[in-house]
Amino acid sequence: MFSIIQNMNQLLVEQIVLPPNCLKLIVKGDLDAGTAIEMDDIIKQALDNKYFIILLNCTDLKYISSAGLGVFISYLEDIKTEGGSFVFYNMLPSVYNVFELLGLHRLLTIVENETAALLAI
Amino acid sequence: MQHTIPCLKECLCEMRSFVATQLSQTQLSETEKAQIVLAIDEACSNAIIHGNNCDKNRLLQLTIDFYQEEIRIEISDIGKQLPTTPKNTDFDIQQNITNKMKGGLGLRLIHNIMDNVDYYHRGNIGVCSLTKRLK
Repeated sequence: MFSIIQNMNQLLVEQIVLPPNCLKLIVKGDLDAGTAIEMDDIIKQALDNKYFIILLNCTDLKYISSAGLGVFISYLEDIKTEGGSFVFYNMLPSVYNVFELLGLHRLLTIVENETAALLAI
Repeated sequence: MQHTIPCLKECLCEMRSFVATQLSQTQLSETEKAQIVLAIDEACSNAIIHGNNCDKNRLLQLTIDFYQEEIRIEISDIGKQLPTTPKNTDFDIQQNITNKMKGGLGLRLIHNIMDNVDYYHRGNIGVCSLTKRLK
């Protein structure tokens, strides 16, 4: 297991590899139109490196806009084709509500905590 | 109340902070406040990226007026006019997933949150007008 810190404008993403093919992202800050491209790069790189199960610890994700959601939506088909999934957990109510507004809470795996996330994969 | 930022995506956080401060003086629920901040952020993002090509020399002006029955927001700039109606009015998020689309969700969020969305010109200034009725 190793850890990489990537510092971005208003977004901080810590990446932790959970062998064999799972990547945990600890997301901190705001995921908006200004920072979505950095998250896009991280997800693209994860898929290129064959990490098809991606856990997202959202404890410190303070804000998400459509640009942030668009990143996950655009890779969802690819990740499902490989038998993987995004698993979100520890999400703030205000962030969860953005998923609800678009009906994404029914299509993505969003669970309460890391224990539930590990059981969901 | 007014706030002006350059047309840079990096300034969206500052705009959200301004809006949140203004809304903190209202009796709206935390969910309603967060949703209005989101709708304004989406409208500003569209104006900055699609209307003004992230030109830092252009300005985006936000005006919030509070009335007894509604909150009126105006986002003004000299950028090109953007559509205010989502292309697909029978929205199905599954289509975005199947087509691997990153965009197209902002306008849907704005319409889901706000009660009225309009776009008009005041001279050479384009104005995106958002209204939220208060219960």
